[in-house]
Amino acid sequence: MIIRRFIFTFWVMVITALPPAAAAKLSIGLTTSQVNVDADFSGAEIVLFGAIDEDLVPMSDLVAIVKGPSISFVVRPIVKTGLIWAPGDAIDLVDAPGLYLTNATRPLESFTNPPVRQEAELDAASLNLAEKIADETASDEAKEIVEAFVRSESLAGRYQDNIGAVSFKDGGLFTIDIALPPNTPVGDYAVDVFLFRDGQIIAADTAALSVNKVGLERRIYNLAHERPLGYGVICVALSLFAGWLAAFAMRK
Amino acid sequence: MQIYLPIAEIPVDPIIIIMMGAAVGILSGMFGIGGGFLMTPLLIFYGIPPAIAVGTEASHIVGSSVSGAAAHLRRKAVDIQMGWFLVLGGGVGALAGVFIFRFLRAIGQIETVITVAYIFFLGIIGLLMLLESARAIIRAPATGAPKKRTRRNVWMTALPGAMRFRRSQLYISPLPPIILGFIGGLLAAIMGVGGGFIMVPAMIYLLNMPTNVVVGTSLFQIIFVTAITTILHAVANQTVDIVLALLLLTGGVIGAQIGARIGVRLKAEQLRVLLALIVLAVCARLTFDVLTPPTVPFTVEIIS
Repeated sequence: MIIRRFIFTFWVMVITALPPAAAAKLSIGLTTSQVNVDADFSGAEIVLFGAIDEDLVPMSDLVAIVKGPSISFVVRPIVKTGLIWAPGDAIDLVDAPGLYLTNATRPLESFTNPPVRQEAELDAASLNLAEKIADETASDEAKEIVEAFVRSESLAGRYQDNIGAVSFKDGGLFTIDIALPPNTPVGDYAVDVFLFRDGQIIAADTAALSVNKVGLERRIYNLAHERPLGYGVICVALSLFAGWLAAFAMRK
Repeated sequence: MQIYLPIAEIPVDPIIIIMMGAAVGILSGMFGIGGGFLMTPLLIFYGIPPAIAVGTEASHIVGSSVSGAAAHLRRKAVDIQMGWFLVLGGGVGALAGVFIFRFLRAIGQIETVITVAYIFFLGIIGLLMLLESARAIIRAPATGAPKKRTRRNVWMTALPGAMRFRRSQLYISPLPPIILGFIGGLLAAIMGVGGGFIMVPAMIYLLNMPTNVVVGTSLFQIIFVTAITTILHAVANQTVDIVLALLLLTGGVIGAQIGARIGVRLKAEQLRVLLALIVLAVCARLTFDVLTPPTVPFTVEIIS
């Protein structure tokens, strides 16, 4: 908490120190630009700091989008085959965002219309995922697949809408608490913030974020993927040793 | 507390994983089973991706079979010669199994195949055990001397390359143990089991091996076959999570000690009824899962 307050104070200093001429309508920063996935990673909290012109605060809305790295997915409808339910034919979704968190002052419908939402891809529901489908598909089928995909990612916590997430401080300063879920994919992220007035974007700013595996997690993962044979042999050796050690300890 | 699994790429509660290891360890200690065929479904129920559950189980079984195999070796209750032929078949079976696994994973059917294979095997084993122990309990004191087993098996001797297995007092071709090993290896790679539940009865009833070397020989070959399976899964599928395997082993050790103590207090028939019911319960849960419409009517997977 103390650190957070310190960082906040730091940002207040940075933002207020900007010369008035350079003061954009919107400027943002993140408390951290790198999130580490290590052995006790169970999600992460990062704080987005920003400032808008003070007199804009009453009539404006803010939307912050945390967009994860592009990942290719395969979606399969579960169909009844004979007696059992099993996955059917695969449909590939190429380069869809691995994470999509929308943080907004109010529900998007209350200050934007659908074309604006789709143009700026303000939330997961407005993403144009149908064009990510690799194979030729009928449009109603594509719609169904995209909806299923978004629902699945929402259930997994990777696609989320967070309303009322923006808290304003004095002087046009604001903070947004961003909660990255435990199953956050690793890779490069973009955090885009839009300032809305009268249903239109009047200012935007962006910040970069990267999520990386570190420490032992990283070493194990890299070993398993870069030198799988060596990793397999180590797994066997460790298991043998653990089994032997246990038997030895228990006999004493 | 949470631990992030490096290969499964999900956080898990280590206490729950250790307790799962202990629970299956208790059963292993009570019944003298490996427990892979209970652990894999348990891991899947917990939310570990089935492919990771199977790959990791191979590694876990290597560790959990060490103490048993060592004990049987010390008592010279292992037919090592027979064991090597089983390992030979098992290695080839594991290789075939890992590639079948890889193929099924690529077409998105691995989960279904694992589940259906479990329903099939758990159902048969559970029912057989229940019937056998029910029969044993009904006519409790067994009457009449047990049938004398014949050491000769005409068709197995007739197969090419018949040789003497001194420890088992058998004169048979090595082909049947190689084929048996192959089936064991195939199951190890696809289902994440040691295969003792197939191996032990097959060695007794098909190969006619004396019962006192059967369990030791089964454990001996399981260590080698699951070690080969672990390495093959690591290379072909990258599905072995060593952190998960070590957590399970930690729990398993504690559980096996408790189980062995409970085991001596209960009668063999009661034990078998209990195990049969556990096996059938797991089977019922898996059956229910594939027969009912899914809550999410699509599967979504990441292509690596």
